[in-house]
Amino acid sequence: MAERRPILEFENVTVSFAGAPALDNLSFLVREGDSRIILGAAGSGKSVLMKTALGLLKPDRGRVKVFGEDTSHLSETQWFAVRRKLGVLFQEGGLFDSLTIEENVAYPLENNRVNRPSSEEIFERTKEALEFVELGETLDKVPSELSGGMRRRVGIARAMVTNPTLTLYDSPTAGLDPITSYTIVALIAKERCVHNTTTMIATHRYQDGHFLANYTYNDKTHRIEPVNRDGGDAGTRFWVLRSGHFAFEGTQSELEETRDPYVRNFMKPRMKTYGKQE
Amino acid sequence: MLDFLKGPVQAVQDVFILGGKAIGNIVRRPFYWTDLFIQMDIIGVGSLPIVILTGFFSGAVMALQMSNALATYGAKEQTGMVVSITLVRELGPALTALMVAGRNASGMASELGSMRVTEQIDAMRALGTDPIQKLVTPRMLATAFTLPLLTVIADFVGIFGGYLVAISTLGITGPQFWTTAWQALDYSDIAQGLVKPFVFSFAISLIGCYYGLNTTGGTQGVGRATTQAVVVASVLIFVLTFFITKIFVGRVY
Repeated sequence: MAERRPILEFENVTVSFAGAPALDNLSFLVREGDSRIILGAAGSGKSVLMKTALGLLKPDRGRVKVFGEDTSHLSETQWFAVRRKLGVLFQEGGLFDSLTIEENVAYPLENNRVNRPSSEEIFERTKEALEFVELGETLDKVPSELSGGMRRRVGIARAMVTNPTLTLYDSPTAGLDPITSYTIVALIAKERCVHNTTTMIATHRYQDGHFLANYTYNDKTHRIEPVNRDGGDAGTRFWVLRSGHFAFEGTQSELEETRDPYVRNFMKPRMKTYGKQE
Repeated sequence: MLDFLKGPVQAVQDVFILGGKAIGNIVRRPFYWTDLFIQMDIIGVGSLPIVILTGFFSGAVMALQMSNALATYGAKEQTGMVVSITLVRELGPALTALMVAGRNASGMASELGSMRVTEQIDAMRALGTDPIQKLVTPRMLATAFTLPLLTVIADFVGIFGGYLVAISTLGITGPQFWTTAWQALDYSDIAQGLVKPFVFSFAISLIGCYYGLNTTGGTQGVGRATTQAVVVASVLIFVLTFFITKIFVGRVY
């Protein structure tokens, strides 16, 4: 079988703030179709990793390759071309509070300087993306009129409206209640399956990763269903980030069997939820 | 040993880099015309009432104060001259700039600061927009266009305030006041009175945007950035007005 093309690669990447490394000599490779669940406590470097992948932060050392292209020497303008193929949901949603929901979701299409779609197409795609997250009726509202969960869903619509190859979700369920969190993760699973997007999700909740590793969206039945283990979900791997480096890399079963005390401590309260506590 | 200087020197350097990029963006596409006009409305039209009030009362109080001093030398009729020179050369530009700094440098710092802490600036960059081009350049140009115009209005309203005081309480006739006020002004005074607000406009907008874009620490950070922007912009106005005056005074005499 032909090797899937590389989408995102970090080579010994170090990012520091005031001398303290937030990412410490980090290396990994994500290939097309992969799903990566980055678990980590607050301050472990999850958001820094996401922002470095997007070129919003420059590494002090090491190289970041996006779609196989070294980005070390790219200017901010050159980065715009790379970012057009990336979708991102920020921790706080990152919606522009002075724009309507329609304008927010249409923003990446409107600002495509190279290949801007027609106004009719922009409207259609915006509506379609909002209907995907079941918020088709909110076009004229502004972000402050929506709940936290709805804003996060609008953020997902904005991330997927350009049909990105790689979508990055930075703590999509942070600060949300369990029911809303489920809705958000289910939407991420749906987006991943419908558009076959390479997905990286940073979260502090093991439940989010567990869901994405074990459930998938069935396009025919339009339902979230358990993954057929025989078919495999080898593309979904977990990373546990601790102080800017990986404390764990592996599959869900490897994660649940790990003896690393930090990772186990991190997992304990979450495993209890699923009745898997020893 | 000189570590305490690193921060301020770095900040000055960053403001200059921000200014360079914002100016460079004037000739680079896309140009955000709508944002420019919105900012001109906010800064220019929005500041009009406060600038008119400040200008009027500073002219009026200047006439009251100066007429007393001039009366000592029997030159009370020259009140118009003193009011117009003081306003056009110094008080008009400085007070207008201070008002706009208080109103708009704080507005820019808090608006951009809020966008920063809610990741809207990052989102903007991630979605293919240069925040300097979209946010800083229109604010800088809008301030550069409107501040000199506001200053002209403040100057006129101030002289008018002085005129009302002169005819109502000082016993100076209208023609006397306007003739001395008009004759006192030289082209260099007008130039000085317009160069100052133009220069101040860059200080106000760039300082406001710089502190906004560099906000850290959540909502508390937004408050801190706003305060710092107003304080630094106001101090800078006084420093700059000294140097510009020095240049003009040195050239004329």
